[in-house]
Amino acid sequence: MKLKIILLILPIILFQIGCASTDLKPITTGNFAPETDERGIWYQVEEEQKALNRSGVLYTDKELEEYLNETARKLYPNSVLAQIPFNIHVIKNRQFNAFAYPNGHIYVHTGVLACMENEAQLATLLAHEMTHVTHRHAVKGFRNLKNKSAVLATLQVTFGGLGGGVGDLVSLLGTFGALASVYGYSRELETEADIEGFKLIKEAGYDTLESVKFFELLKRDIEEEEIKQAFFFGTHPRVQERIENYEDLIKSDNRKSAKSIINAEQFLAKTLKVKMDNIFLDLKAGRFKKARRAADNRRELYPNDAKVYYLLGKIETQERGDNGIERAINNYKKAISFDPSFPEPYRELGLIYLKQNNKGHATDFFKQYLSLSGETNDRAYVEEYLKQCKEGDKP
Amino acid sequence: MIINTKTSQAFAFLLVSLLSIFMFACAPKTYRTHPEFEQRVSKITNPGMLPSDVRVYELTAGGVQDLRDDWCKIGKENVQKAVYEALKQRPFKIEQLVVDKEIEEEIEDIQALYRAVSLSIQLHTYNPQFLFPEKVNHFVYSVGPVDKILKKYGADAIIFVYGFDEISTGGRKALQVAGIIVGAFTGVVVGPRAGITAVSVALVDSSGEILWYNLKASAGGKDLRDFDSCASMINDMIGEFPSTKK
Amino acid sequence: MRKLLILFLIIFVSSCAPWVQVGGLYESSGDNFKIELPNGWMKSRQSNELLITRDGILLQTISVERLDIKHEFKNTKKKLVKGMLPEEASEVILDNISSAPEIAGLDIIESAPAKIGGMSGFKAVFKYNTKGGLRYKSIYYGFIDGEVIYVIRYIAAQRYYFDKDLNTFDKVVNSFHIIKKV
Repeated sequence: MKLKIILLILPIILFQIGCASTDLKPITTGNFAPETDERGIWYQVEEEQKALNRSGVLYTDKELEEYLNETARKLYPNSVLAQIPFNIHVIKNRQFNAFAYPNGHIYVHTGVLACMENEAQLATLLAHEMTHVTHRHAVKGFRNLKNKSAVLATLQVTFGGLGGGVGDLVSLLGTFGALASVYGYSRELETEADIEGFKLIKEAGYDTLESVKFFELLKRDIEEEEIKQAFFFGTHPRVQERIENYEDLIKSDNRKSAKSIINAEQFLAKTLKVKMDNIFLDLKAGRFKKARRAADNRRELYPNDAKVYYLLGKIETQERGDNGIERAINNYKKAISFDPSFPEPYRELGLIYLKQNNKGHATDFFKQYLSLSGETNDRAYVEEYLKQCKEGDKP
Repeated sequence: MIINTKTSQAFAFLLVSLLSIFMFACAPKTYRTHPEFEQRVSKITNPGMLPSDVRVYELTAGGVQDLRDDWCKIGKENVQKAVYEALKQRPFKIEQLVVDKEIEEEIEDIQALYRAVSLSIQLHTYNPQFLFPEKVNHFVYSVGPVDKILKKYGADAIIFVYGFDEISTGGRKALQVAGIIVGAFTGVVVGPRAGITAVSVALVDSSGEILWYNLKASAGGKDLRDFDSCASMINDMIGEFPSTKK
Repeated sequence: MRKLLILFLIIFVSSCAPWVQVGGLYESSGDNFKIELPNGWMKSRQSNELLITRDGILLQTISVERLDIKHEFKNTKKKLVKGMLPEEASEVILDNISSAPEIAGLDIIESAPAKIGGMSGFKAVFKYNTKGGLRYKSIYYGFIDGEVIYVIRYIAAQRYYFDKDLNTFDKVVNSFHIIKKV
């Protein structure tokens, strides 16, 4: 009897609650005017952005930012850019990620730039993120969340009072089901961003094969980081599926492109600094394999770069692998040979010899470090080590 | 330690439990005063009121908070006006401060700390479960040095105003009613909570210390978008400001 | 660091008094240390480590934590090793903090050797920002004792609160002693 009454009431409540439409025209169709809840999202986003700008998390490299924005501008005609002034920023974070705010501000992690190889891959990323903006996925996702949670709440109200754990079961399944589909963007929205993004890079003349390579890089990153769900581009669809989607898109696209832009040279020149800085982030996070790969790539391109050898030395020291100390010493000495005024390798050699109880060498290297480094916030440590060497104490 | 003191959900959660104190306690005093309130407040003649931070959300049936910029604007105007009008009755010459680029960063710094201080006050001087006896008996909280701001605006104290409001959608209200109806049959009422309205005001003197702090909250009965509703809440709050001799 | 927000919420929903007022000698036989706590401060009953505050955990905390040297850090794969130099231990701890995704603008102000309870260790002073806009400053002292590491922390809002209780923290650190030496 109770159940019959509840089933009678349920459709009435659902009708009262209503459902927000997720059918919105893309900004690219023209005459864009944000809807009420969309404006609310933009307002909230502006607050988030202010906090982000103040936080010190932004990576400042004007030349890099200009290059990213220039690449983004190649993907859309001026008529679209006039409606949404896209702005690309970089965030100091080693993770393979990027995200777009609905107002056109896109944030790319140093981690994803460090993994990329050329401009075509960058264009794949930017095209995808820009599509989230032009196709208004933020407000669609938000409405989807509201609709699903409203239904869930309705079920909880109507079934929650029943005994036998029925209400609990519904709410358990409902919660899991609702959350699974709204975490990140939904599978449908991600697929739309993939498809539309693909069209953009194709139109702009980029080599579409690089889009597949981009997802291969993501896949490698997921495996190395042992991430259970892809952090980047939301959790749906899974990365292998997306690689296959792009391969299908390439196969089914019969139009021959006049151009096939990859532009690796300019990309590598513009991302030189950020790639190096990201190696330090990977090192801090103890991601030695990633850091070593990036450092090795850099060494191939710049075989006389002292900083690279210093980094390789640090990796060996901190990874504590077999014969790591010998390799570390070689790398530090190479760093010094390429740039005798670079202080850090002297310090590291001083530490190695100190731990080996080779006080003479340790003293020499520490003294050289202090003379080259000037004001440094670890001076107290080094002075302590010199004292230990003089007094003959073992560390 | 990373605390996002702007988390509206944490704030709402805190307020829900505080509401239970307000509703079930025997009309407790809701304001807090500095130990030297009497002698210090008498020296204040022209406090400056910082732009109020008011957030008004649409609360959906499913409990999703949808920040409405249009409602925030109205709520902010109403709260600001209501506080200004209520404080005019006091022996103060109040000025509404306009923040410019020169002082923006300093104010953001102070406001960030104020948010953390306000949350701490609510938790440790209001909530019986988490009371800190030292803080209750000796109510001293600070937002740090404010002389730069006071000097710029020629003020001798600062007023902080924060507002938070959740307006239930029609769907949510329908669900609340449905919960009652269904409850009549099942014996168990399950329904979403009413939206919370809360406002806090603090008076800070030149030392940076809070001389007076008050908080009012209501579950479903107030609406900051409506001036009269907003003003009645603010008047209740400012009405508790101790009488001072000029 | 999100740990503190979770702690904030756990403490909040706890049904028994989660805070107790402290002062004077505090001895932890389980963690093998003793320390003098400042009068009138509040100690958390919920936290695994010794955690005290005067005004609220969003404004300042002093904490003492003992970790197994094999402890796996949340944000770095780097590990502590028995017998490692204090500076190296400090680097692992700081790298764990700076690699936290919620940390922004971490700036190391000081990094120096230190004696804690007669043990050779490290001191690190740094500041950082949070998403909500509040800036924090922190002092970490630490040392390795056999198979464990002790870390004594002072974390406070950079504006006003950090300087206010710096002397209090110094007294707490200076009072720290291991009960039984390894």
